[in-house]
Amino acid sequence: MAETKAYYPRKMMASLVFGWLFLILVYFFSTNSLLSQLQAPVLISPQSDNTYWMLHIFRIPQWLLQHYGVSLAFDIILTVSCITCIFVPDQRFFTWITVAGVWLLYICYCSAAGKHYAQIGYLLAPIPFLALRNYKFDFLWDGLRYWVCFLYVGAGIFKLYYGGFASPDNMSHILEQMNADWFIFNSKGMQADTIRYLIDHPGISQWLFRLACLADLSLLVGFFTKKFDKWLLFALVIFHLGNLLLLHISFIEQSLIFAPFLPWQRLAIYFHSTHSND
Amino acid sequence: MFLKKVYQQWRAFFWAIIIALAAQFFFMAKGIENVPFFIYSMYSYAHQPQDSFNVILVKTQGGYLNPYQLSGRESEMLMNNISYFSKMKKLAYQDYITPTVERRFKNKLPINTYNFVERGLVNNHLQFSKYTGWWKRYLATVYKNPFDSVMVVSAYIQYQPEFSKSPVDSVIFTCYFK
Repeated sequence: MAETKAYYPRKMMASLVFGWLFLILVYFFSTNSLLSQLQAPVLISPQSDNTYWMLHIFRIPQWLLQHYGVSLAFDIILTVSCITCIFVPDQRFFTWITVAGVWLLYICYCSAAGKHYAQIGYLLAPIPFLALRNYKFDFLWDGLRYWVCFLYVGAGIFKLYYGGFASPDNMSHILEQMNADWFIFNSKGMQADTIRYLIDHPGISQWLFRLACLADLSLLVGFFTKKFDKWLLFALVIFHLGNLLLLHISFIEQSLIFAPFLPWQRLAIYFHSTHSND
Repeated sequence: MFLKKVYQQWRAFFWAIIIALAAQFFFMAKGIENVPFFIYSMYSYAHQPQDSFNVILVKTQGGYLNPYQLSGRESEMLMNNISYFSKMKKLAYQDYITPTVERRFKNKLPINTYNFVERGLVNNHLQFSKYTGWWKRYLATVYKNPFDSVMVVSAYIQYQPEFSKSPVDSVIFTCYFK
């Protein structure tokens, strides 16, 4: 296969994506949620996920969680690998370690927390960098973009199929459930007033739910053109901000899912001209 | 168009996409999440109205601890597994996953292999007995303030006729620090 001209600026993207991932790991560190900071959790929760079952049968999460020295070594290796990927993007060894490391970190964390989270942006975005050749990277990055579109469109279809969209007051009940303990500590202020207003006005809150569903479904456009990527990015950011403010679902881990919709060519031109001026 | 290009230029990746799509649709149809085939169906179902909501709180001598002061990851690690522990406590510390493991593997695997599999998937009494000790250590890590003791309790929240918490808390477990 003859090497074709690269569509995406892989090196610059690697530095930025792994830099972004490094900041997420710093956030994990600052919030006591790297493996070595979890104080060796004792309960596991593989639930019905076969991948979790396979890893738990072979005691991999248990081994990583239960031995402080092992978990500390794991955290150090993951962080150093991620930093290496920022500065040395043209290699595959440390990229493999980083990708495997974040997936293991995710599975161990979810098993110990007793809930399998859907915040997976930081798991998906580093995968395309396993390809070193330009055309392979381009395909993988586009594949990632389509996969993200597929996930969100799927979420929109689920809301239609399972009746959440058509329900007259679904969002009001979701808000009641998600804020039951939050209101004990936050009874005053603009955020509390807004949530209370939405609970008391199911019709209005349900239209917010429908807007969120339409934001999910809007990613269908992403299958046909990249022209509207900035609007899709905008829809995703607003969707996750809404989740944060109304349902208290943090999206720092998920934020790397925005990466496929960034204008990478324009960023490359900008960085190139900035460096040329220097 | 994308798939056509992939098929022409990188056949192995094309088949990987087809297999991944087939697996994704299979797991979506089954409704079972299998990493890395995530199912984004959360909040899709029409939620039914509820009279009250069960909440878990941490009670200190100075009042209830606000888990929303912590980061999302800290409060998830600290609070989410309590309901799991509480559920298991009600089942006399029999892990709810045990019947599933038995159904899948018992009498299908040699006894030694079955025991190995079961020990990997099911929380045993020893793990449950160590749980409160772990929880106390993690609480001390995330809350820098020292406590004499804390009680983990369950309570009910009502929105009608007005927002209120049940006056009586039900104790799940107590931790002593001194």
